[in-house]
Amino acid sequence: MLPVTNILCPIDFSESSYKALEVAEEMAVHFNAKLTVLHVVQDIPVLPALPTNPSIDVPEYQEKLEEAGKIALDMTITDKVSSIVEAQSLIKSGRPADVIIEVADELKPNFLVISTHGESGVTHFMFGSVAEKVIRHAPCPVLTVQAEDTKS
Amino acid sequence: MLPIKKILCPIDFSEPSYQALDIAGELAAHFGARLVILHVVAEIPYLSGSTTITGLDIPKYQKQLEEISFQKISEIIDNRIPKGVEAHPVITVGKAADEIISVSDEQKPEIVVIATHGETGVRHLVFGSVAEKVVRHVRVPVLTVRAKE
Repeated sequence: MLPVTNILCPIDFSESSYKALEVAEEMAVHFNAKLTVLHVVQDIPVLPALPTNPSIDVPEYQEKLEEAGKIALDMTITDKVSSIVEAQSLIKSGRPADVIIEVADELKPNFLVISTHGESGVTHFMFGSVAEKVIRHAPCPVLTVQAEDTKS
Repeated sequence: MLPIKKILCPIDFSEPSYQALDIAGELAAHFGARLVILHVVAEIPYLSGSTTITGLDIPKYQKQLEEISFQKISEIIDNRIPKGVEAHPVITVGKAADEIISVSDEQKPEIVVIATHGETGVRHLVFGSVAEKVVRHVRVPVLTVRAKE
């Protein structure tokens, strides 16, 4: 796994995902590694037959979501990642777990850092299904960071 | 999470667990951390209605399993762990995930390194239930390592 030159950290703007980002940053600083912070915008559902007068222009709205996502992501990086880290933001659309795995296949990071839970789901009863899928299929080791405050 | 002073790596003597161990060893060498290698021996069930059947000394056998596991890990340390890493075996008896979580709470490593699958279970259909439980309940970051085919 060493030396570490390249780390991938998916976030969904939840507090838990920021905990993972903290750890990813720590590691990036320590190893002087590149850090890619990924956010996956979920696809807006479309039924097989679009309503004849959809009240939103889906492709256009999807694009706007991605633009907003990129802005939020860049702001998050500026806020939360030390400027000494070579960090890049990456916005994609699709099913989060699938896209995270695809990006990991492409970028080939030495490891991935992800929170055990994100924004959706019941944190205490369910192991986040995104994290679970990612662990199961990622092409690299996955560092999972507990969502709850470990000191409490 | 940094600096890493202690790493916990549970193994079950399967090939995937050795791959996780190799990474744990690498990290321990890099960070100058102590490496605790844990093996959980499954508790042997007692047949109901008899504490000892002639010729079957269960507690003694359990002890033998523990001793052999300890020896085996010591060998593995000699063969697989980078020289200079302070590594030592810990053997406990019980249910794997529960013991790992317990030992992690006691030993307080900065990180746990574990294979996603071990010896048991159907590799491609099911995320190893031990690794899954560990990731869910251990209080520190867990590095999961998928075995390379």
